[in-house]
Amino acid sequence: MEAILNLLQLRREEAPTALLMSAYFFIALSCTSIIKSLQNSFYLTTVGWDWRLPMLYVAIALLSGPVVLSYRALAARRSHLVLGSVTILFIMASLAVFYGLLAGRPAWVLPVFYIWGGVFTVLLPIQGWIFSYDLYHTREAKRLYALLGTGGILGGACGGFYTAWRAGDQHNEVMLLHVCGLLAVGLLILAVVHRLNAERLREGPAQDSAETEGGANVSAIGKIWASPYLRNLAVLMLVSGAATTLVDLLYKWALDQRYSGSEQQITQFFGTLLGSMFVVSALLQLLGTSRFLRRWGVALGLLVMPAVLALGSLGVAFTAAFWAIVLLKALDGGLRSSLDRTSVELLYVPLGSAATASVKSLIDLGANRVGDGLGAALLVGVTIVVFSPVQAAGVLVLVAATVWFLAARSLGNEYRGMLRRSLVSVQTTSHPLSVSESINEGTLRDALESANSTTVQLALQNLIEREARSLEDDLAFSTQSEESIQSQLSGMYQAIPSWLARVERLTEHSDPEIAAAALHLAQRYRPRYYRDFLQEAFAQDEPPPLAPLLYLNRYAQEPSSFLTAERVRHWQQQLDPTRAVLVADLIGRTGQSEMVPILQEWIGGDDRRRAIAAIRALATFRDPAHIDQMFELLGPAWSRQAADAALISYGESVVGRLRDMLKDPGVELQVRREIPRVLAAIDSAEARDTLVGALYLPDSLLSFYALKELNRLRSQQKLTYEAESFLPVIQIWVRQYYELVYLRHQIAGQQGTASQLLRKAVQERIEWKVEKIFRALGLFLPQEDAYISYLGYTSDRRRLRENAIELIDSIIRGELRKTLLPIFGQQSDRELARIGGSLFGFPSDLDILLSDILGEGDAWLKCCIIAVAASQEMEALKSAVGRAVNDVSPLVRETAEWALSRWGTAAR
Amino acid sequence: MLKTIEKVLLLQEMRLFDFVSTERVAEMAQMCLERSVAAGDVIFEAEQSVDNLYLLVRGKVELERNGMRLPFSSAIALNPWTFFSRQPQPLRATALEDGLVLVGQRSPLEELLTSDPELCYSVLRYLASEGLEGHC
Repeated sequence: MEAILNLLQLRREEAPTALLMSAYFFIALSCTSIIKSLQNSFYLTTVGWDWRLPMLYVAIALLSGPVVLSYRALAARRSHLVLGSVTILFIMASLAVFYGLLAGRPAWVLPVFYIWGGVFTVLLPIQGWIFSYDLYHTREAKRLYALLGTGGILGGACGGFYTAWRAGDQHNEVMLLHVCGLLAVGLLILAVVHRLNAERLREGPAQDSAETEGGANVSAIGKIWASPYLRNLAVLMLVSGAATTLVDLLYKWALDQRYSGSEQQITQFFGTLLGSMFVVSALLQLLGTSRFLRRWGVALGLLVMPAVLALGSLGVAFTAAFWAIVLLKALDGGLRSSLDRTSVELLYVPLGSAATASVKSLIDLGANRVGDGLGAALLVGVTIVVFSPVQAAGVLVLVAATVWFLAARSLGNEYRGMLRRSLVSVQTTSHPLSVSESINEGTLRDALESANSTTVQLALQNLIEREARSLEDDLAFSTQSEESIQSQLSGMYQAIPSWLARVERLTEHSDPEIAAAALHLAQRYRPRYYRDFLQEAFAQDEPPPLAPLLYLNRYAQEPSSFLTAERVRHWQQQLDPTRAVLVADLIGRTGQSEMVPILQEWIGGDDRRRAIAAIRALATFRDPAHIDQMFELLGPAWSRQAADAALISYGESVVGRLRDMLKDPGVELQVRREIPRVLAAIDSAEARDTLVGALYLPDSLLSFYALKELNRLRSQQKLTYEAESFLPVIQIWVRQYYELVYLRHQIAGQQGTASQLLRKAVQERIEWKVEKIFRALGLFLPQEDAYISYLGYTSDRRRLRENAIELIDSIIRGELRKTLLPIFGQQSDRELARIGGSLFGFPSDLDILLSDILGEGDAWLKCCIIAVAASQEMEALKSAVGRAVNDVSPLVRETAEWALSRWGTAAR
Repeated sequence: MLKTIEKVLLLQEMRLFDFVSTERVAEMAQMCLERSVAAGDVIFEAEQSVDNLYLLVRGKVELERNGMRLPFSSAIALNPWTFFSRQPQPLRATALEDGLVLVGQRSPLEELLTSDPELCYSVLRYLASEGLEGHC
């Protein structure tokens, strides 16, 4: 059983539905095959091939319009089960009527039956496909559509052979009743599938319609026209319809020439060739289609059929022989139902089932039938104009196949874009609130009077932004005379603004942020007054109030004239932490070197907030003499961020030293983990190279941080990297991913708190690995692709996840593809462990696996393994734990010592 | 004295760390001091400002507020809301049996949290989920 499921690439839980759907396609295509054989043999035997036959194709194209509209109206109002039931019952009823009418082969019934068959038989497989879009997402579809298609192809073959076998000189119409019986079974199958998958069929359409195409209100034609993807798809269907109709008519002409008047011979040849084509298709479908699509992708799958038809048409164009025409038809029939049909059906999957139901009928029935009509009209034209219509028709097929090829190529490229668009909805767009520029002055005046501090602050901020835009030159006190400022102001303003009085009142507001912002606005209109006010505030024995300090920090361009070392020393015993921080920041802005000893004193003091501000201030001096001190300050947690910022201000001169620290396992891990952020902020070529090098470091978090910074740098600066720079590290992470999954699989059933901790740590690392792999892909693939794929992959929505994987599948190539895709393929742990084991040869013995990981570089994972080894007294690991006593990581050393000390005493 | 790995093994069960990576739990564990409590010991008094985060890893504790008493067993954070909000503690915690409490001091814990946005977010997620449960 497992072997059969593996051969069919089926998972056990999928089997019932997939096999039922395959059975439905078997029935649908066998019915189609029988009806087609009969309609052609009845017509060719009684009427023969003349100009009227192509015109029937045109009539089919014209009648398809109303049928499509009725079908879509039903699709919009009823469930897919009701849609299928109504359609199948209508076809059954029609067949019963035709059975009665066709008994005497009246001449008027034959074209009616021909047209009816052309219009309605295509609805039978469409029903199945619409159900399939509800049932399967992209990746599943890629795997399972081959099986579904195989059912259809086998059905087509059986239908063809059955017709050939049953064909006699008369009463062949009885086979229409057989078709009715088969369709009743098909209807039953759809009902069972619906019952088995009621939940899934309910969730699909409603959710997906919003995802992709913007709801049902947009008309399907508008939807197709507005979407380049759907437009190309419609063009593809139209051109392929024209090409295959040309082939079909040519083939019927050849049959009519060869077996003129014999219903039995025509029916037998028709049925036999149809059956044989379906057999070839079935073999291709079963053995090749799925593998082809998984290996080469949908884009290439679309190109095969037009390329083959173009080659076949050359034979017809040069020889005009019966065998060349039959060969062309056989190529068409062999590929159309297998690789080509499956590829085309996959194009619909990213759309979502609701969008698909809406547009598919229009494209399949509309565009394709118009293409049929076009092909038929072209052939009639050629028959009239050209003496040797067969060769001319061969040339027409060549031209149509070439256009088809080009359309398929364009659509293959667009397919990736469609997957992208289906994922873009995952991205959350946030629009930060901002104060609208169009707020009028009256509203702002009112806002300044508000009791709500936030409203007042927003109003002040708005005024500050307006002022900044209005005045190009900053009106700092120190650089311009009041007269010149007044002169500028008088030139720029008609009058003192109406809000100034309110703003001046706010300079005394209890909220220092508001008072400082108000000071900033007010000083522009009364600079001398406020300069005096500030000088007085900073000349006092006690520290200045918060508002002036904030004002100088936030808004003043040259605050140095207000601050002296003497004053600061005088205040420092009285400075509360908030004011101390502001004064330290001001010192940094003044750049007065005589203040440095004060800053050093503060860094060494007990007040950490003041010390952090002092580190920031010291960094602004950019004195090389302080670099060593900044590196030392990376150590303590409290000063780390400030030291980071300080080192960033030194720029490239510290990159070499940072690189050495990164590689030095003796440097505390927490310190090393800060370095990527510093390097990214320095952002020189050497800093970026160092970040790339950091990806290879064994600490998971450290390499993760380096990767995040590289991603950020790339998105900000549009940097381009070569894939080769990252493929080795991705392969390392892929290997580690498999190793971790393998380990998770091995320890799945273990009890105890240590095992629980190890499982959790392993799970965290597995998730990191996936994120790291996506992030690394984002360094050389189109960055948005990797990003949206990651969002899609981690989404709760199954279709998005499937489309994300499909997008990655369509982008990556080579060895990476082979190892990477199973990771994203939502395989079970068991399956992934098997794949990982065969790819990388992991040991089956858990002790050896754990021992191997203990020899690797992930310190925390080592600690967790040591805990498990100790709690379970795993003797095989004791020597590895013993070695860990000398590990570079203090935490690993401590854990190993603890483990050895309790070995033998641990409770199991 | 407990080693870091032992503290992590005890802390991993705690809901406070549901969203925190195990490695980060280890970092927090390194900062926590051990405090053994005997039955009847008061771990913290009501209406006191609390500068420590108390994590009960062994034993049973009774939390009391306005005469209402609720017993809690390990593993539980006894005062996350008041610790993070810096509000005076409305509860009194008394050990019901001998046990062990890990005590995280405000200063190093806040430094760790403020230096690591991911850790901060994990704690925020815990508080949000607790708050949500409280409201639902």
